Amino acid sequence: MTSISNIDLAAQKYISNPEIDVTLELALKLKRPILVEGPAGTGKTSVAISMAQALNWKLFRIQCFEGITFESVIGEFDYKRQLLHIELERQKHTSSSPKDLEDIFSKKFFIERPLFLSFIENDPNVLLIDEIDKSDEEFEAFLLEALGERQITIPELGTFHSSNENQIVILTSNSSRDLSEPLRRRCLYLYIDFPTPERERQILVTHTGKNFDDPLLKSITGIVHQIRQYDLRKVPSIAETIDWAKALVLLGKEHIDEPTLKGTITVLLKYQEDISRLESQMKEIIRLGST
Amino acid sequence: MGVILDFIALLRYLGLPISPDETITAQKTYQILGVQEKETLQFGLKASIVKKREDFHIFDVAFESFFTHQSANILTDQDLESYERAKSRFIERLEETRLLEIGVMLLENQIDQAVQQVEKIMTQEAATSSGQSMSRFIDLQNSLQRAFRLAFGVRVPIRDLTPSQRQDLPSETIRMGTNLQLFKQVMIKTFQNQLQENLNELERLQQENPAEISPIDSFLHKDLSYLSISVTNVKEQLIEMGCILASRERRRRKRAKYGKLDFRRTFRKNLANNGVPVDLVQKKKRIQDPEVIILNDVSGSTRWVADWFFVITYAARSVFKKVRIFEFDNTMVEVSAALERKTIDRALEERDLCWEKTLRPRRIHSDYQSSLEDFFLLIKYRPISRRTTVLILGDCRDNEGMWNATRPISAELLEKIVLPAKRVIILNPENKSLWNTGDSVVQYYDTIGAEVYHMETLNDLVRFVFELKHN
Repeated sequence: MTSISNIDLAAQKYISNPEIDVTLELALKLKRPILVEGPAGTGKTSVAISMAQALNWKLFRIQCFEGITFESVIGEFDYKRQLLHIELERQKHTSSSPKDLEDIFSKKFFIERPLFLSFIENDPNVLLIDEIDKSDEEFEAFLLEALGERQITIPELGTFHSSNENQIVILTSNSSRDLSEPLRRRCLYLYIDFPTPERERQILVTHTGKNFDDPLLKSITGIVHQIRQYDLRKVPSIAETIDWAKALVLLGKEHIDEPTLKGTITVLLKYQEDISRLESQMKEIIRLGST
Repeated sequence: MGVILDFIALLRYLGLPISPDETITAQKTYQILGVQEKETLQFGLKASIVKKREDFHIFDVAFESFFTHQSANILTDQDLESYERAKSRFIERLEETRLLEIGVMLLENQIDQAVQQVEKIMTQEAATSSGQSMSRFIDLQNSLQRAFRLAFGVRVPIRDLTPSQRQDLPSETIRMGTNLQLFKQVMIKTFQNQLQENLNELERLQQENPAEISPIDSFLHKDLSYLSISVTNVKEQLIEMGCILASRERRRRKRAKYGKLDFRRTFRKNLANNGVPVDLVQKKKRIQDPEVIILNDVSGSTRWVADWFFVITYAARSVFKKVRIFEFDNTMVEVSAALERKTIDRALEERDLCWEKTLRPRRIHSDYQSSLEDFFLLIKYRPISRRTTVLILGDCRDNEGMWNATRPISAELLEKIVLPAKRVIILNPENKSLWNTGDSVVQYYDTIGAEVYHMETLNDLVRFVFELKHN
């Protein structure tokens, strides 16, 4: 398997898989953004954060939400500062004409926000655009220029082209709405699903300090894997598995029996109806999960 | 470059939309990763070319077949089943219109012949010349096109069936043609698309004035008594309708957010224009979603409307987040959780599961009294408040409800809802002339303050539900 030199995600407690490795490598070499999709809690955001840490690159993060605007990601002119400047200039030169005034629509008066900062940054950096599906379609369309041509345009200041060869853009989405074709076309695509029990066990090793062959970890991942087979309102994510493992380690459990699962199931499941649904199945889940 | 172009041609032929830009990326990926490690190349090309998870299966199968020349069993029973379903539904709809019986016959024969012919061509060992295969293939497509024209009297574009010169199948792909399964998959996928297009076309032809109203709107405005009653026949159309309605609702909400002119922000924004107010900035309103509770009567007489409504609600679930949905006949269950399932089939399964946990044995006949008694138990922890609007979708036929001296007991129970609620609206799909006949108790519900309306079309239902969200 082709490995990515310089990126040691495992050192950042991120247990990757070959598909993730290959896609990250391609993104670096092709200078293409990556669109990461998958269920909540499967490590989409973490892959960007871990990558930035592993490479020792700066991380710029944009958290998308409904109503996010151009101004909140690129920047806006500092209105108060502009007014103060005009006032100051007026006092200094009583007969000042507009020509004497420094251009108040220059970069000096511009408050820079993450997208702009990332584009003008000379040092290597990772730009994380998190939960792009939560933003409006207009915002998504606005990003096309940045993702495709690696440039952003601010009417008053001009067009900024990113000449930084070491910049990687990672977009994440939970698929709460379908993203547009043009956006997808501009990105490499990575789908991160729930991990296999083995990969999940490796993740737990990094978070609990236990051995890979520890029977408790084997049972935990087996049981969680079984629970994910049920059609639940919210299936447990990796973060919940880690919490559950930590809880069981703290409680000093060495194996999982029915009372233990019943007593700690609330760490894994967050809806009463899901808990009720599994109540009668717990014995079977433990049996199947432990084999 | 040739290998990747051939592979892209195959993928395009299998229906994956791949742009020239993606082809260049795929070529670069191929140069970076090489072919030494097949799995790495597969992951790399997948990331470069495939942009939706649903297309992973087609890609994986094509990759396996293309890069290893191994025959793969790609046609699952499910694929065949869905094709057969689409085909029979298409024929069914044609028959329903009672149009062009001869065309139907011709079309059906042509499809069968087409599949047989493809099988024949592909299994022929002698078909080594790509040109020969292609011309026969195009002949086949032309005959299919003629069949469609005969059947509908309209020319249906079948460009998917006829590869353009630029998209001519390369030799490698033709060699792949010996893989019968792969080409059957191509044909079936193309036919499915074709059938779907024609279903839509039929829908359009059925409209009296197709130029003025869209198929969705005409569907919404059709008299309910003339519509098919089975949800399975129209599930896809309902889902599509729900998505469109949700999208309209989202746009409407976005517009509704903007209120009066925001002077401060307008001045600030227009500093760039020397203070001339070119760009106006409006204040954003904070809109609070009202509480809406919907009670659907699923007893025999109104079951199909409730089913339809459920499917539409499922498709539009993103704008129905704060709506609670209950269903009732002689007992009541809450089915809101079913809307959170990932597919409509799962949602329908979940809905059935909800019905397995009723508070009393189910008898299918409507009993508004016992249903409302159950309703009070179900909402015990989140009772009705002054912000709650209750929408009842039912024919107000209280088959088995008890009466006191002057009125049905269900009216007394409904009054307990009317008093604290903001509004109680009853949408009755039954013809108005039948109201207050037999076991219909419309007048009693009317007198206690519930607003009873006649629901003539599906649009009435949809309009009420969506309007409730901003009233």
